[in-house]
Amino acid sequence: MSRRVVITGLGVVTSLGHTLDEYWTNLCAGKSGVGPIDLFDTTDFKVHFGGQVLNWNPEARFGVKETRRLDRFAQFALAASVSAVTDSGIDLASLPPYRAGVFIGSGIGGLSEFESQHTIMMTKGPSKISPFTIPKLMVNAASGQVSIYYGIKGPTTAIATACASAANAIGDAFKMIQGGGTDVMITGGSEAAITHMGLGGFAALRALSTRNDDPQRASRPFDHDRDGFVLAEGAGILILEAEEVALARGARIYAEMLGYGMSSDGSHITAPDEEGRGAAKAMTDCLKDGRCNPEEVGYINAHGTSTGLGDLAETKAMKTVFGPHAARLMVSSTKSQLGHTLGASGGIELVACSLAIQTGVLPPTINLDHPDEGCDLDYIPNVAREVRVNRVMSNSFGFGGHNASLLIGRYEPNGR
Amino acid sequence: MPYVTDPGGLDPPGWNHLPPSVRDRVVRIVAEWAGRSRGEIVPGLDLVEIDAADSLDTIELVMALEEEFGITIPDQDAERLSTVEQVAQYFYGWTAKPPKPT
Repeated sequence: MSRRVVITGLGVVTSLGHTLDEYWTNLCAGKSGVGPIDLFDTTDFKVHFGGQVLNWNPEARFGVKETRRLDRFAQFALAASVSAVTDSGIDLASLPPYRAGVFIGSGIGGLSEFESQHTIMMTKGPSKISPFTIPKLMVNAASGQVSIYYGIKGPTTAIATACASAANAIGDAFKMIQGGGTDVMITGGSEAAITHMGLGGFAALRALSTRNDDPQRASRPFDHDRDGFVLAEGAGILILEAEEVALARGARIYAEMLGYGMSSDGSHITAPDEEGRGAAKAMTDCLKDGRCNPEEVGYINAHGTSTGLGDLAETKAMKTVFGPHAARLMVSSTKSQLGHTLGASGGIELVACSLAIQTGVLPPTINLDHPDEGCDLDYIPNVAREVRVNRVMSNSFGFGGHNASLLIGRYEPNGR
Repeated sequence: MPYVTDPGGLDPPGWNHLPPSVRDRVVRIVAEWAGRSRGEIVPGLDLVEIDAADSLDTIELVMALEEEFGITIPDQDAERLSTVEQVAQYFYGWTAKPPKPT
């Protein structure tokens, strides 16, 4: 059984907006969502800025009591899921509960809950640890809470492949419907790791930009002056549906899920393969899975984190896979605007890809003033571009050497 | 204060006869825990029926009350408390006669 799978709903929580309209408008306007971190005192840290979700008021959405049961990352996941379900117009209660599922990825899970309860344990003793500690911090809390919210009883899992988590979750959800296991999936990723340990840990890896005097210019993928990524948070959730289910209820279809490829570098826990061989393999397999020629792809939403090694390796991989067509490809990095939302990034970025197909606008790579040597593709520098594209790829690569690529396309009712 | 751990033994003071300080503290903690206004926290309110509180919620409430009153109570006692009035009576018992250090 191989069914067509379509994207019918989108939801985000980002530093550039909590609604789809706000997010997309700001993205296409080339705005940056990066700014000073005020979630905690960063005085003793090397980095004082990030892509923080602002004006977040979970009590107003979920009530005081429910909010206390959800770590920030699960709050983002649930809020984005509700937005996506609402956007899709689907009535989940009318579906057989075993035919719907939830696959939501997160790189780290409830880090702030872990830290706050650890502090309580160290200062007040183990008997003061909250009974909600474990159910809040676990990576699968996001999927679990969303399934509980909607009474969904089909396959529900969490995927943790660091910064590839959301892409792997979406790819797996796509395959779940394609293979006939479910009809509807709520999928994507969520992350809220702007915490003491998150910021300090990534800074210790020397992975973060330290451009403290100019935060909005810090995330500059493919630029000569890039000096690391910007830690960010948020969630990006999509509703995937079997084509016939979506058509039967007259759903609006943003795009069709076409392909999924994944691989591992199998070489280093944080550094990418310098030639981008693993990344190239994921992209190649993704094209093959989607029965798509390289020349058909018009736009790639790159992983593009703004690190020295990563941007170069991804560029090499794209040249390997697309050959002469690489020069005609349009590529951009949403992380130039949001920073790196880690395990949420693949979801937030596939939302952008879906909107790119639907609206005919490709978001830019901002802060790209002097492309680095070897970074010589068309990265849509600084200004969004109005172009109609039919096939779009999204790349996500994670610590651990995980590589995932997704391919979506303009929905054509009569096949392709 | 034998009624503290054996509510059936002696007759604890009713809600209106408990010290206002104890009543106020219990109402404040329960209100914060339940996400309700203090006016909604009446003596006969059943804690388990507030938003269908489950066992994890109850543990959380007991921990907050323990923190407020500076004591640690036995799990089997916690399981017997069901209304706001019972909670206030129970903690009044402990404050009237501090328990042995645990």
